[in-house]
Amino acid sequence: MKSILKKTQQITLLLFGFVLVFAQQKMKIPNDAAFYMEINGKQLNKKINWDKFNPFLKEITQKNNKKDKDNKDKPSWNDFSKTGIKYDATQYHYGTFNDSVQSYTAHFILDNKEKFLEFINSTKKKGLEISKKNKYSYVDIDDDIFVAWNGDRAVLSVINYNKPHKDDWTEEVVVDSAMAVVDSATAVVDSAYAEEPEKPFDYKEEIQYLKDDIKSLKESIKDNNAEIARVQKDIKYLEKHHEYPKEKKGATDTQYSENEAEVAGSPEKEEDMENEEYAVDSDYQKEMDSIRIEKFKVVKKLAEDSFDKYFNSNLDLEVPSQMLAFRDANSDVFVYTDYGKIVNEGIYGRTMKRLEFTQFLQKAYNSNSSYNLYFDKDKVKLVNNYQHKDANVQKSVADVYKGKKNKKLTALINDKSIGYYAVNINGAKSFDMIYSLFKDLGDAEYQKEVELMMETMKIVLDEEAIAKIAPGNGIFVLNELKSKKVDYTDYDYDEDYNEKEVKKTKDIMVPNFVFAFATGNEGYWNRVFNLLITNKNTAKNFTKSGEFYSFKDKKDSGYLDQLFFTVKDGIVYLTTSTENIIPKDQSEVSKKWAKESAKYPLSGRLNIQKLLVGMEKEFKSTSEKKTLDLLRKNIGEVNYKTEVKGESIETEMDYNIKDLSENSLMYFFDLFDDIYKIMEEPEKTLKTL
Amino acid sequence: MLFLPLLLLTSCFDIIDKVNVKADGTGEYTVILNASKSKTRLASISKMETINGKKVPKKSEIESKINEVSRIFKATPGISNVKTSVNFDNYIIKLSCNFKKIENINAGLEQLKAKNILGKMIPTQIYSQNVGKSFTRNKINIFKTDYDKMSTADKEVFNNAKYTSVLQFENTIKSQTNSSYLLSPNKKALKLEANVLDFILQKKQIQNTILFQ
Repeated sequence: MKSILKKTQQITLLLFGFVLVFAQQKMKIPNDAAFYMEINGKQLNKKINWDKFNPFLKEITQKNNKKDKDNKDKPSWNDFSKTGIKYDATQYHYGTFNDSVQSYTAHFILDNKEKFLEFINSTKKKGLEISKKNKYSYVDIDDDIFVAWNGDRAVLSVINYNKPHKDDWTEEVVVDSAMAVVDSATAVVDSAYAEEPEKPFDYKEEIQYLKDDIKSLKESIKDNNAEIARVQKDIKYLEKHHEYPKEKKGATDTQYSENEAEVAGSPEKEEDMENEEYAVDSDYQKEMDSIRIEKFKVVKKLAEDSFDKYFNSNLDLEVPSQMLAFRDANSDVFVYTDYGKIVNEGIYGRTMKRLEFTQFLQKAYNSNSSYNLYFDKDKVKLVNNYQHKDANVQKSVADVYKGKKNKKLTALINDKSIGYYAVNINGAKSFDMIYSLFKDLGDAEYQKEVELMMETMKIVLDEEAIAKIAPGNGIFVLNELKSKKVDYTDYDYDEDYNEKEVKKTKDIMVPNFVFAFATGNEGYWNRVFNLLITNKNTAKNFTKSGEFYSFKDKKDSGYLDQLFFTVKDGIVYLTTSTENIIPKDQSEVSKKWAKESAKYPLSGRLNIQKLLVGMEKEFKSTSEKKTLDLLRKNIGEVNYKTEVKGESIETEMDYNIKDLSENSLMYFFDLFDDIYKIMEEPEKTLKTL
Repeated sequence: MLFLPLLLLTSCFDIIDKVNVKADGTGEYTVILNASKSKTRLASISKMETINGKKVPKKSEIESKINEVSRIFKATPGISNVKTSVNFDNYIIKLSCNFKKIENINAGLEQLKAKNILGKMIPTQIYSQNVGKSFTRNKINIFKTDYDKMSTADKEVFNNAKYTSVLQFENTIKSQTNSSYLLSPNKKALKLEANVLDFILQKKQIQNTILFQ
């Protein structure tokens, strides 16, 4: 019976143990995370051509190593496609911001621990030992970069820490949240350790650990020694002469020249001083070291704490649903940014507090944006969803984006057009948006004043009348880049080489465009234009001929010498050629663009290829021409549209590529690689000289 | 180098520098900066406050700088009849003066350097002469250090820049050490024309020693 009881007890304990193990929780993304990114490795890995990517990465690493004294002879990693990181798994990245700490963390899945270790060993500084913890190992590959890993997971953490200074403006007692985090985290970690079976104290391991600490601290000290030696010289000099050596006129650096030394009266000692080696002041060194040590300790502790937290969890990341609200599982990269946190807290937080309209700006920025990026075969697509955190503000922003269509404007798009940008917003609602930003703003004691100010604004401003002047429909159409001859002065020489001014001409490219917007008050615009032709200061350049007013620059040498404007059928036109306002035949393609430009509150299109052809004459140098040829071969078309979708403002930007690369991701790589080679050429030519 | 901030904004400019030396060693020095080819671009840029992070100098600032150069040259012993002109329609800046001996020009440039109008790296000992016997255009090669420090975008500015040096003499030239200089039919003038970059990268040499008959 006793044995049955004992067995039952053992089984119960075992089961309880299992429950405990499986009850390990997901790691929650930190509360102060303002940036979150998911990289869809499963999709993206298929799109990367490592045969092209690898040699390029190798070249860049080798170039960087050569620049770095410590890594001059270090061989670069041979195959970046094999680093032990499982590239076809999802990667999770996030960034946190607060008053003193900015961190960037990336979580990877490993498929080859040995390879990953090899990779880390090739990246870290020579002689730097790997620290072994209970559930993971880690190494600091730089003062602020830490990498931790266990069998199948790795975490990269980049941490920047700056001790907050006393805030002189507000005289608030500044609490270093990082230190608080460190302290509280220590407490948490300690209790976590207490629950685990404690390892017996191994003094050898501890000695090794402390030695590693010394090693990494020595690395930091080295960097400061040169500066310390320089300051030491200054101190010794001041001790001897009670003043700095007099500076040479015009010189910016302190110079211990022989002449100046004569003024000081001890030339031979001065010369000695140049050559004498001074021992580094121990007090000074201690102070510098302690600052670096303190900083490194905090950063290291923060990294360790986050690693502990992660490797003691079930290794999954728990992301708040709000961050993932707009994530599309089919996108290659998903990014969430909390502008409210980045602007109002973090590094910008204190600057913001010193601004006059702090609360207004804080409210205006209190939004988040999500981005889904797709590297498709024929285009790159970026979809952005903007959302204001205040539901009322979001609604009033959305209302602004609900404008009316205007077919007279979209008729200006034609087959020749290089690009256009169309706006169909509700101008009258923009006043409501401003009011909603002011509403419930700031301290309760001023709320009445703010409300009164808003009421006064509403009385003074006749929003409806203002909105009638330009209700919110507008379009800019770039039709072509035209060649224009301009004269310039050059010098010729006679046979005795006396110079003589001569007039020559050259071609420049000028834009041919039309900008038009709807108006509900034609009379207002006619009065404005009439004023321009009657006012004695402006009448020199402004004239009226038929239905068009025109502006002409007398010099006739600029990009915009003549502009025409007129008001017709509820539209105000501003154009470089009167032809532009006459609607042209639209093919199926331009009909499609016209339809899109009427449908969306904001939309645009730019055919960069056509634009580059027009700008050919502006590219003069060999490398410019080479870049132009390259771009002409590769460059595509950009389309842009914004609309209200559900609770967000959605903007889609497409970049259509030419079918020269295997997909749009490699397209960018190919293009970048080619431009990189062109840029490198002058450097190579220089070296051969 | 004097108007480097302005030059960096242009895509194309020419520098002409001319020395006319009489038999007694006196003469006239002229320097012309011609950015007329880029005048459309400059006219647009001049309406902006900054471009590519660089401040666009105002017309008044350029004029006051030219006046300062003129004042410094006027105050240099041996230099007289200093004339300056700035043409903002064509973006041409001119400076001319008479000198008692060519070394006065070196001294004038030295003064510009002392007043921080010319950069510390700019050479000032450009010319020397042995009146009636020889004239020397000294070697300069330190622009490369400044050029190397520039960004790629700034370097591009020099790709189309042209430099012309004209040396005219009352005496007849017997020989010269640099054949890049073209000799005029009357054998009293020399002209060197090349891209500024050729001098910076030392593909072409500027130094020359001229012996007279």
